[in-house]
Amino acid sequence: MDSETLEAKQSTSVEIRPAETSGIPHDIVDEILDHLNPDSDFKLSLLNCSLISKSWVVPCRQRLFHNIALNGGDMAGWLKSFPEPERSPAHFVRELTLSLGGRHSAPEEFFRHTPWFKNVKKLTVLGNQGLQPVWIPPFGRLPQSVTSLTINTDIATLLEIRDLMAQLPNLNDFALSGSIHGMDGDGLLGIGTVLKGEFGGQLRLLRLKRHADPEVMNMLLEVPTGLHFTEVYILTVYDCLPSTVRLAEACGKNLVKFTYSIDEHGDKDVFDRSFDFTKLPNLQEVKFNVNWTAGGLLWISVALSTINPATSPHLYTLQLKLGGRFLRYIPEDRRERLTDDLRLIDEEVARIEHEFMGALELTVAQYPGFRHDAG
Amino acid sequence: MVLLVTSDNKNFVVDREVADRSVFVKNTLEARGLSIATPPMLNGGCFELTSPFLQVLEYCQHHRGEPLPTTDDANADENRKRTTDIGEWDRKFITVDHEMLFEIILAANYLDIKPLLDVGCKTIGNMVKGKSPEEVRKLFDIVNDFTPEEEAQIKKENEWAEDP
Repeated sequence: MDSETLEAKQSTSVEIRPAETSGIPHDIVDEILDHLNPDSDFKLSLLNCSLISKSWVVPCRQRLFHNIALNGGDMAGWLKSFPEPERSPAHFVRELTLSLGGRHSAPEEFFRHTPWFKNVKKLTVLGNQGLQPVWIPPFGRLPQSVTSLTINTDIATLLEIRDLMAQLPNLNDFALSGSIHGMDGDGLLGIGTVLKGEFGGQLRLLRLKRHADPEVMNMLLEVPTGLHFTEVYILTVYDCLPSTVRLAEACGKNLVKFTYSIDEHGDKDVFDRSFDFTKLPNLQEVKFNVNWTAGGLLWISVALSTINPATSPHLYTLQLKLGGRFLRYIPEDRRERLTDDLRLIDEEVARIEHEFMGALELTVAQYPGFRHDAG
Repeated sequence: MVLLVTSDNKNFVVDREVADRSVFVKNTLEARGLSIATPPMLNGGCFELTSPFLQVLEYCQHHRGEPLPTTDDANADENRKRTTDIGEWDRKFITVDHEMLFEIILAANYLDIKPLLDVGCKTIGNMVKGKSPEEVRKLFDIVNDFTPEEEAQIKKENEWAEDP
């Protein structure tokens, strides 16, 4: 019997006698449940099986409570149902989704229970339910078992997010979306200060967002220490180009996949330097999606100029998607610059295509009428 | 040829190819360089193998030479378990009384014969599906060891796992 099962037997609310006394060993019950057809009756079958005898309770619960989602009202109910957290089924949960917004606010008391979800691998925190979003920072101790954290909220501050992440030493998949408002601490250095040590896997920073203060965004992306991300996906504003360049370069040799999307221009011309792909020698996949071009496209051609088969030997996919829904509103002088930028990109694309000699899947997509508008 | 001795001292001489259907036997023979395998002690007591062992041997003889499932592919393992289909021969083979069915499963589990374990567990899974706890208990002669209070508590806690 593995330690987790033993622990489950000891801590469930119903006293479980050793499985063997009921005739069917625990591992055989496990096998049988694995073979239940996962159709629409699967959960009902599990619910029924959990009531057969004590030896069936734990294996059924490991499946029934594998993933649960709780909103504020649910959390209050959970506290009533399980006043003693150590006797709750929390330890069966592997994927936990907490919705903090909505009609019922999340009771703070619940967050003292979060350590009992000690086997959770994937934690999702949602802060928007269409009504006034609520954020409850004092999460207490988060389960150290969490390897994947998704935060989608319009209310959290960078400091709060940083505090959450700092509690999760085993995190290797981090997704952040929503508007991140304001900064509530001096000297906040950004994600890099949290992600020190052996942090790997994926980083997804998505829709960090239209109305966010670019300075805050740049601080969020600021990376003072080396990172170990293998995959980075960022959707943000053009103003964050410098910090995105630094973040990618901080990942260095670890970075295998990189997607950078811009869906809003900024007011500033932030181009100082672009991605230097010679510093990312293990990249296999690069995607640029630029849905607004007012800030210029020169940075793309500069980035492309650093790609060649010798310094990017593993690169097999390069995708550029260029466009701009509101090109017609771009001032004339910028349109001219845009045309020059596009010509430079075309030249670099042709060079790369020639040098890689068919070993690279190269795609350049554009919004319909883009060049016509640009011209 | 390999000599297999059951815990009730019955001897069976089988082809190595048949014996190797059991990962337990295969590993034991390979590790010890022997041509004889002594069967298991289970939960501290002798496991009376002769009766289910005959069945297990029949299964192994029928499936001799077939590729064994790999242990290092989690997806393949998952897919194997998710498939509820049972082949024609296996279905007839496993049509036995419930006591024997469980004994075959226990033997397959101990001897590490995954395909046979799958067939047995799929059969029970198909029987369990759609039945109430009471019906399952009756079917397999399982004693309800819950007190009424415990059963009520389990039901109450299970509400957290039900779809909203």
